[in-house]
Amino acid sequence: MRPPKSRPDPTPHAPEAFYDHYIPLLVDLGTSECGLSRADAQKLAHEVLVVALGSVGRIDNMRAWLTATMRSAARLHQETDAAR
Amino acid sequence: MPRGDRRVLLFPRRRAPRPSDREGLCRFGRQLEDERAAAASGKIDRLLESTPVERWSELAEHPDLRNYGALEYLGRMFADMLARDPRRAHVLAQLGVSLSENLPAGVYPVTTVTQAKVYAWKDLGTALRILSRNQESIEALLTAESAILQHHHGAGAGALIHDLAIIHFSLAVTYQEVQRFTESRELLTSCKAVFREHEDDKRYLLCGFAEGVLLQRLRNYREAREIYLLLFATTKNMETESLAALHHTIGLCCIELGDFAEADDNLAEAIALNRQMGRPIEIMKIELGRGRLLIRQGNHVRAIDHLRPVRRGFLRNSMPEEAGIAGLEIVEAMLVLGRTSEAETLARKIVREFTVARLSSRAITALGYLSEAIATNSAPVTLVTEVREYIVSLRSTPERDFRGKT
Repeated sequence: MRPPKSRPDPTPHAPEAFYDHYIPLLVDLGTSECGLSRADAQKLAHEVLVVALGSVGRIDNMRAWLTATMRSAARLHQETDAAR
Repeated sequence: MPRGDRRVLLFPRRRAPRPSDREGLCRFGRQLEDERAAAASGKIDRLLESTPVERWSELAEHPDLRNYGALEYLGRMFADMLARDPRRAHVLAQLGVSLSENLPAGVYPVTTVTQAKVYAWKDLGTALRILSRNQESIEALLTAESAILQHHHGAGAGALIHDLAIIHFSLAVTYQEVQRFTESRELLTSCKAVFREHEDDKRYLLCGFAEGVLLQRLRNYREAREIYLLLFATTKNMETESLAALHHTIGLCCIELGDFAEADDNLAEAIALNRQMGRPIEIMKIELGRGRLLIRQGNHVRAIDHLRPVRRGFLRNSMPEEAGIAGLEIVEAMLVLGRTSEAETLARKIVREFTVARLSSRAITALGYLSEAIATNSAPVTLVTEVREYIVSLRSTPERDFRGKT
């Protein structure tokens, strides 16, 4: 279980804070957990944030949504790479 | 899944912006915010109110509607409109599809254009399902699916996996309508996993319920109960309404499985929760289940005493179909007790109630058949069950014909 946060996660309504808060998390997840290069992880993290911006009303838990989506994007990226 | 009936969509790939740096992505975020604020300002509502529904298709070129924020807003209007006026909602969904296929080139990233198309086609598929145009619904939902699968290979499709699961859920529901149960189950299983991973509790629950209902329709009550029990264990922060619905469905499965004590506990819990929420109609529906439990336990006299006030409650609340189903439970108990004349009188009364309420002619025919069979002493108790289950099944498959097995 995550420790309680002192302030809520930023939402896409404040794009700069949203970006600064989540990009490091997603890039770190892409490199350390999914084994992507830093460049690939950054590219995918941006892609995931773009989709998140278009999905605002459909996301209940932004952090969970972003990390699950990043994992999925990384998995398919690696599968596509392996198939080439 | 058939691949032949998918439509190919074209996307403005070459000129699409790629907000791949902080500044570009933030600019895009603010653009969407502006579009959403403009859409919610009331001008779209006024535009639609001042345009006759039969001319809504002409609004596909309207500048106030040709953006992502407006499309999202139309999607919310569609959701509100669907239950009240599905034909109007269908026209709105068609407008949404036209708009999504003609978003200005070069304004949005490719994935955003795809999302616009995906949800427009999904709304159209939903409207068509509500209108019982199930094959067209499937085609619309497969078009939504293909927008993701054909145009976003690899990472792009990965980023849209939650959207894909939402489409698959809707497709699974339509597949159930056309009895394509195996495909429906496969889709529900896969999208439930995605919703769980994304901690989308609301859709995860809906998916679990849809899976359970599907298994109940296939009379696989044991597995249905396991699915429902798993929802208890895996859903965080479940709302009281969902909790009550779970206890209710688990109770009904337990009745069919002969686990009467467990059935009683679950139905009692469902009633207590609905009482907390002040939902008397739901309580009556659960009491109907309790009547069924008494019949299955062999307490036919008690079942009749229990179900009569339940039936009156449904009639008082202008719910003739539910009243008829409660009445058929009573008819079944009466037949078991050899009270044939009372059973026939009640069956004929239910026919009249259905006729006055202009309920399904198929249901009325089946009830008439039952009444005649009782009158001629040729109605086995199982026929009552068949007619009752047939009437319930007409809710999801209104075109189904009655074919009594007994």
